[in-house]
Amino acid sequence: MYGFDYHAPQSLSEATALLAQHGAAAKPLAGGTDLILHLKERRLKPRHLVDLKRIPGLDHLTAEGSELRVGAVVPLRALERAIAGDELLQATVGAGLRQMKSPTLRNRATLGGVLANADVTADLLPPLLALGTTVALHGPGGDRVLPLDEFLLGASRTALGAGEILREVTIPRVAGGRGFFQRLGLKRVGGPPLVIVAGVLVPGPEGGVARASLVAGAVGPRPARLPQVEQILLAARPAVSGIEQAAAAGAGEAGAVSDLWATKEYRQEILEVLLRRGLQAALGTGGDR
Amino acid sequence: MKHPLGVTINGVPYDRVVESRRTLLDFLRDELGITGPKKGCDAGDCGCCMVLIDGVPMHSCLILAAEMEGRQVTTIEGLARGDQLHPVQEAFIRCGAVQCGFCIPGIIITAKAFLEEHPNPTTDEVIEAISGHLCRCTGYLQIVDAIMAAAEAMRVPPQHA
Repeated sequence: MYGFDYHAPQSLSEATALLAQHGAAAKPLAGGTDLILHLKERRLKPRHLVDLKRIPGLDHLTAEGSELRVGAVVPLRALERAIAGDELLQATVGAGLRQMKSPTLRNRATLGGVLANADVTADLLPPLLALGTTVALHGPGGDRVLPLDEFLLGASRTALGAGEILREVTIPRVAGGRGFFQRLGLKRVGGPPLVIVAGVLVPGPEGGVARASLVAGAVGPRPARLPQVEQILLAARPAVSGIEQAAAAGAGEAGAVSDLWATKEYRQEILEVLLRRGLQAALGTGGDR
Repeated sequence: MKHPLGVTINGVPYDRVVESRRTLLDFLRDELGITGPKKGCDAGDCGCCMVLIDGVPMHSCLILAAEMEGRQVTTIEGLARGDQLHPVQEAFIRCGAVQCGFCIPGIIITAKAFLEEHPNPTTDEVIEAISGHLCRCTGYLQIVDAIMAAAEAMRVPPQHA
């Protein structure tokens, strides 16, 4: 493996000082399931690894009230356990989590690591974005909170500045919300996703929906909201009458691209099918499988 | 950079000095001669290097030895009590679940932790639990059978002390 110095700071200020001092030559280390692999394959060559796991206050997981607050170094497995009794989070975050890596890697991989790596095809991102997740950052200049959507700039690119650390992730619990997660991958389990779509809908009067948040992942350069789909669903009475039109609109607006795994046209067709299935499941119409 | 490291492995405390870049797997195998954990893919795909860290199964090839300060590590060597094999080990032998054997120490580690948390699993749950493991002999059916048999053995209290 590439040579580097390992640091285990005991406080946030010590960690930010190390990261600021070494700049681009330093990388924060959480679970390491991606980072250590990158080091072995020499895709990354940091001179310094700054382990965040010894810092008090980064490993909390509180599920009280209207939100779930998750410290940056909380393993994915702990998050899976914490949401076990929550129907909406199970249908969205839980379903996405089960596609991430393997159960044993999820014992080590952390939520903060997944987000800070900005793997834009990660199954977890569309559910988190649909729920309106925010991230708290700590840096030499103090703290700031960003919507996850603004934190993720693109493939392997985030809004983290020099010396800044992803400290906490806040996942809102949308009262009365119904959610779905649909994906098609190259393989039934694991393998790169070709299309992911997640949604959160809040039922409203006259069989309509009062709130709709839909996010497609792995179809374009980064996960993207589907505002036309949301508008169609918000206007439809009852909401189920808008499903066909919404699914067709989603295929067009997701910015699908062609790559090694699938063509743009294939992704659009699959997205339409997955959107229809997800909306039918979330709006309780059963329907085609 | 070198680090003093105090870590307990299979109940034995070790005080060593390790290089920053040393993985836990290489530390166990090359420095301590604990060769139960195997180096298969060295990338977190095959699960042959699985160890328990404070009771939780983790791929030791993707962990730095230096990260283990103050931790309790258990390898396959730490499961037996004297001459008495762990029920999961017994079940693997009884069910003929071991072919070449390279993947087995890791799978037994994962199965032990899984069964302690899920004493009455379905086969689907077992398959999901070991999905971070690869068996090149493709002996998965017997491996799943062995884990189901071990679950039963662990549910029945032993007849003697």
